[in-house]
Amino acid sequence: MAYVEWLRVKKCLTILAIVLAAIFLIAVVVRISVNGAMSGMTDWQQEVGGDAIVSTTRLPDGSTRTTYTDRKDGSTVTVTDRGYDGKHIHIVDRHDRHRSTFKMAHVGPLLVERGAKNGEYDIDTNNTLDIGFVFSIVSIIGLIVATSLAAPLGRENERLEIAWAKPIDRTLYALHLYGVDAVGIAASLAMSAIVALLCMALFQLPHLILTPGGVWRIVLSLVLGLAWYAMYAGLTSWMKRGIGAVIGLAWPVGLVVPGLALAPLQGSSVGSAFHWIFQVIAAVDPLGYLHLTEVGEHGNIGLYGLDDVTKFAILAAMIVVYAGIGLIEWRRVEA
Amino acid sequence: MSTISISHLTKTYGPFVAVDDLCLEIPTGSVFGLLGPNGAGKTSTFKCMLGLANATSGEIRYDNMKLAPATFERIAYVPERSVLYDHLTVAEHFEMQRRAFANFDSARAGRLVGEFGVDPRKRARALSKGMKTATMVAMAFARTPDFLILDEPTSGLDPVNQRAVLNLIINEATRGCTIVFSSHQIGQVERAAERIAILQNGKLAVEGAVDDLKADRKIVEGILPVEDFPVDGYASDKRIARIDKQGRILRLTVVADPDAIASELGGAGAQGVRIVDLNLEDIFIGAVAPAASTADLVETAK
Repeated sequence: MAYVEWLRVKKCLTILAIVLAAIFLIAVVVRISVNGAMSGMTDWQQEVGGDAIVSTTRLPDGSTRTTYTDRKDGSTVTVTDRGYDGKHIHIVDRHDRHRSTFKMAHVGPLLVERGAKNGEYDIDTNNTLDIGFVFSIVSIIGLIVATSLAAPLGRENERLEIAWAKPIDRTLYALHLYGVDAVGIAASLAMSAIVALLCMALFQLPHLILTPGGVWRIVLSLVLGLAWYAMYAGLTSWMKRGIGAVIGLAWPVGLVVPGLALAPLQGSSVGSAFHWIFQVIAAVDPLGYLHLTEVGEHGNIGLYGLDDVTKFAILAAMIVVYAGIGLIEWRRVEA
Repeated sequence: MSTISISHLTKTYGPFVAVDDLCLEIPTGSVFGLLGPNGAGKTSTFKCMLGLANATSGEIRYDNMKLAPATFERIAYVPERSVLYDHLTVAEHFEMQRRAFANFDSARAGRLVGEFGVDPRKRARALSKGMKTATMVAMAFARTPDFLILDEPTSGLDPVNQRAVLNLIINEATRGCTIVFSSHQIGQVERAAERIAILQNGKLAVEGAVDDLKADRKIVEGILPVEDFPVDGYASDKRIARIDKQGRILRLTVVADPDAIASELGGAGAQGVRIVDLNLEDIFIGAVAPAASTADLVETAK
């Protein structure tokens, strides 16, 4: 029944796939172009190792420890390879020959820990990355896809003679449309997350984990997109024209209102009134609950510093209310 | 037995009454022409019949059943304007129909658009008005429905394809399909429809079998001896329903005793007096157009 909507979703996901492929290609180009700098560590090891004593031992936990000792100046590099858990590299380089190289080796977000003290460096590779955080970031793409799929009922209003002349209850038909679009939004999040991880892996394979907080972030990224989509449905399902304007204006309004709600306007009674109005509007604006911080941190972009479970409850309620309003309005439309 | 029953249908838009207490019985397997000038309420009637607009009052029944989602398996509708999805190809529209309707015959739809000269690979936005109409006609007829509701199904088509659509309508009726259609092409309605209804300002002005309506009335026409020949006397004649006068030419629409009226007209000095059968256009104009509306051609006497 929702064949046309499925075609829309397919087209949207195809465009997204092309964009993501382009992003990945750009990442590949960047990776190749910084290859020299990225391989600095290897160069360093080779440089030391070329005239070094190399000893390798296997530790009780199964990891392999390799130690390079420079005979000339006593510099050592100890590499503890923990497989997928990454490497811990301890460098003792009194001459500090390769400081610049190390810096370059930090391209990408994954080599996050390094200590430098008296020529000693500690580098941990492959630090943990919660998948939930990746989904938090790509939730923006989910919002964009939700926008492009927005107003499925309003778009049908120009051709109700087709949409409503099918052997299916109108409510069920509308739910079909919602369902197909929801799958499209979920798929866009998954695609984006996968490409994000691939791009990271080009620089260094992240050590992926999924904590309970990360699971909530994944859920939040989905419900955020769905709430945004449902808001459009609620706003436009009765409209026969002007839908594009609503879709276009919703983004700036949706972003500005939470910003205004944060503005310190309480200095006067008028300011306080506006502050209150903006707070109320922001509370029903899904974009106010956008959450880009790391898992476990309460965001400030979401206005209220709410925990993830509360945000989920609010966004889920928005989905039900907005989509319900859209459905009720749509059933009242006449061809 | 009537397949489609419209009972006291009224549809208002604010203060405007689009359909006013319309009652129609459309027999099984018949071709029913719904006529009327623009704004007479034809499309509103169709929309109410299909539930696309909510009737203010009244009831529509198909085979004595109220309209329900399942009924649409048996109803095919061609709206007066294109409602195709611009970004879809014709073939994708057929696929949409195939998925929605159990009895949609994609092969037949393909053959039909082929006969209309429509390339199924084309997107709807690239089609001419006539091609869009042809596509919608193909989508409807490829379902072999029990009820066909066609609102201006030949709009934008060339005469050859108009004729093809008429043949489709007649063939479907032969199969037992009940067809209701509207058209501004009176000749098409006359050719295809067994029964007609004429709407005027939302109200039923005329309804009946085409042959009966034609038989009920005759035209008596003749050339008057002088242009200012007085015709006021005919205005009070109960046998005469309408008087049209253009220069010396007088046309009287008579409901009874045409021979006597022809004799009287001849006796008054008119030349070339003759009695002719009504056609559907005469019936239509008689029903919807007051004589004054054609004042540039016709001098009104009644």
